[in-house]
Amino acid sequence: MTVPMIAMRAVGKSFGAHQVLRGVDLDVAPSEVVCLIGPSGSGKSTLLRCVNFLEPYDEGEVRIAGELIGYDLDSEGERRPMAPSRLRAMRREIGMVFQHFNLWPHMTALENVSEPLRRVRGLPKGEATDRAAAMLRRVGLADKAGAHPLRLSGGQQQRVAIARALAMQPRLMLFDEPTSALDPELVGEVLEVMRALAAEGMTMLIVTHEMGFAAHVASRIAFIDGGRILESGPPRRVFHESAEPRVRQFLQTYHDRNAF
Amino acid sequence: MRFSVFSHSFGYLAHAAGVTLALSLAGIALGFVIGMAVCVARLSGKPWPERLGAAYVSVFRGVPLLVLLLFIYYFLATVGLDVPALVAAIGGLSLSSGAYQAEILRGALNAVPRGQGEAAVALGYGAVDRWRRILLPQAVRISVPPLINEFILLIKASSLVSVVGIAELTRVSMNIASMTYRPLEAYLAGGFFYLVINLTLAGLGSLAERRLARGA
Amino acid sequence: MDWDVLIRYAPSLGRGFLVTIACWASGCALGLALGFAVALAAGARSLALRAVLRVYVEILRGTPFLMQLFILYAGGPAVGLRLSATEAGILGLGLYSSAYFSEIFRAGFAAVPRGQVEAAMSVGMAPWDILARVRLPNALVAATPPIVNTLIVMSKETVVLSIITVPELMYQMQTMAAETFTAFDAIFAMAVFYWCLVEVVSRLGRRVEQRATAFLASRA
Ligand SMILES: Nc1ncnc2c1ncn2[C@@H]1O[C@H](COP(=O)(O)OP(=O)(O)O)[C@@H](O)[C@H]1O
Ligand SMILES: [Mg+2]
Repeated sequence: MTVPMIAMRAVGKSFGAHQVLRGVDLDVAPSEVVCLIGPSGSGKSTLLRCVNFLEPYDEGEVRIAGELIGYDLDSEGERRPMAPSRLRAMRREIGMVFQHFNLWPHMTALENVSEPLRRVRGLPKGEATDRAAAMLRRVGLADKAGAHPLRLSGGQQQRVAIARALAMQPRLMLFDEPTSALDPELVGEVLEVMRALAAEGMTMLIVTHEMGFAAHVASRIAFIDGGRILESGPPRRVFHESAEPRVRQFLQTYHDRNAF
Repeated sequence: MRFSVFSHSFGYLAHAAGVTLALSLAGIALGFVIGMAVCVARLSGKPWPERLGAAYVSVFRGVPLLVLLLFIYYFLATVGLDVPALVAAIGGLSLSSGAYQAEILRGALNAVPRGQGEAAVALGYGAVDRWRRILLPQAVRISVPPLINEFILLIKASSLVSVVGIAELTRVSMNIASMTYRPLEAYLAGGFFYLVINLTLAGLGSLAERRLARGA
Repeated sequence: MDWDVLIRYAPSLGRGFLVTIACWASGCALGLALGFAVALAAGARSLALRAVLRVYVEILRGTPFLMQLFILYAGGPAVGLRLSATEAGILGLGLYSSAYFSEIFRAGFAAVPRGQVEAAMSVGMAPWDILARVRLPNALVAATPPIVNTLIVMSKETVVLSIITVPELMYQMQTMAAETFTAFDAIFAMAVFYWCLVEVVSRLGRRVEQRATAFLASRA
């Protein structure tokens, strides 16, 4: 069997006395698309941020393609923080897309995409620019290359952010509610890009409230509540056949809210 | 470093610090009246008062305080008034502070969310009640921390009135320096008094700010 | 207004103006550099270092500029620091303004949204690159308006240098006034001159601000 792209084992995380993740086990195989759903405050963002160690987890293990992220184990099996340069090297392989885009406002769309290529991948300027332009074309924004982020719509900004992450040629992509900050009519264009990416075989872990998208694109749905993964399985099973009352309640609320 | 300079001059400096505080208080109080008037003029919606208010702010923020002080001083002397120093000192401080306070008050009024005035209008408040009950109380609260900050700046600025010969903290420090031939000690001692006053005020300011942030 | 006197003294006034500009520019350049360094160091882990920098800023902001000049110029020799009036003036202006500039830079760094830094971390950028390419440009944008404002404030503070006999414009003007008994005219001319100067500098400053923050203007 293949090594999972993401393997989380008994991951725990607390903010002070507040335990946000409790014994999380989650695998994402290469080319798999896993959608993480759950109520607000259940720990979805925290879980995602533990994967690229933006949030240091304090128990358990997170492995990326078999390699432990964030910590080194010494000869006695004690954990100590990983060397920053190695952590950076691992993060290069993990693309992340944020709810609020987090584009750099002082750079154009093109510069947002080419900047990491130059600083992190060390590409010469011309090559970085070419690759960035190609990425923008891929997300349908070739004509916005020279625009500053605040002059773009939310949907366009998010597509630039996806291009920025993709340009690094990551092995997997993390999405934290990529459409939650968008006006409803702009959600489709972002989901379309993500759908295409999934079709190309990108490994993706996606926090989302877009149940229709999840049902169609995800290979698996994981439901998290109170920092625990309560249910995980193919979309059909989680959405229609779950025996877990919390899952049914969550989905019921979701349906009520979106029915008209 | 001779520490006896500190102990011997403590009484003089404490007294001079009182003069500095009194001058600054007069300056901030008169400046508040001026600032209110200028602010009202600027927000009156009538072209001439607005222009005059803007000109006032521009002139009295543009001319350095030292120049303003000497200008008033020489002006009073030319027209033959007898107490030019004190009048020039308080006049200069309050005219200058008035310009800054006008801007603080204007900023505070603009910081009251627009919707609040609109809500009052929607509820049928008249203009007077809207100002008296809704807008001004909030604006005054918002302006407390920057006004305290302005007071600190004015206390520091008041050191310049030493040039017209008023025996405030800076002038007295200069006198001690020349009498003892120990300028370093004299000025450090004087500076220490300023520091104590201003840090106390800054503490009050952040207290007020925290109160304000807590609302209610 | 006695124009003959002004014309006769034009060379010394011109020299004074140049000294004013030179003191202002070099003092503020020193203040910006020091202030930036202080703001960067204030982000350090060491509690002791942070406390020392806090004290530095509070002392410089809590005491009058004139007092600081006296301490440097008159008090300096007692600890072996012998400066000419102009040197003391420039150093004083640099120290005094550095306290304000450091607070501006500090606030600028604090205003950089956390997400911007996280985005840079998530693509694996090194701390130095994150500082140079993300945090600093963002902080500078937030800092530009208050920096311009402080530069204007400092341009007015330069007249205080005349008190410790720096031969800048105010000093030359007072010399002229003393020699020709034209005190009132002289000070009136100074008032008009500085008012114009500050107006011009403010207008230029607003232009710079607009440039620096142009990309922040959202869609029309
Ligand atoms: N930096 C933090 N410090 C303290 N508490 C936090 C922090 N980040 C998140 N939390 C808390 O952790 C819980 C889970 O947060 P999060 O992972 O953002 O939830 P979700 O993304 O599912 O809405 C929430 O109760 C939140 O308040
Ligand atoms: Mg979240």
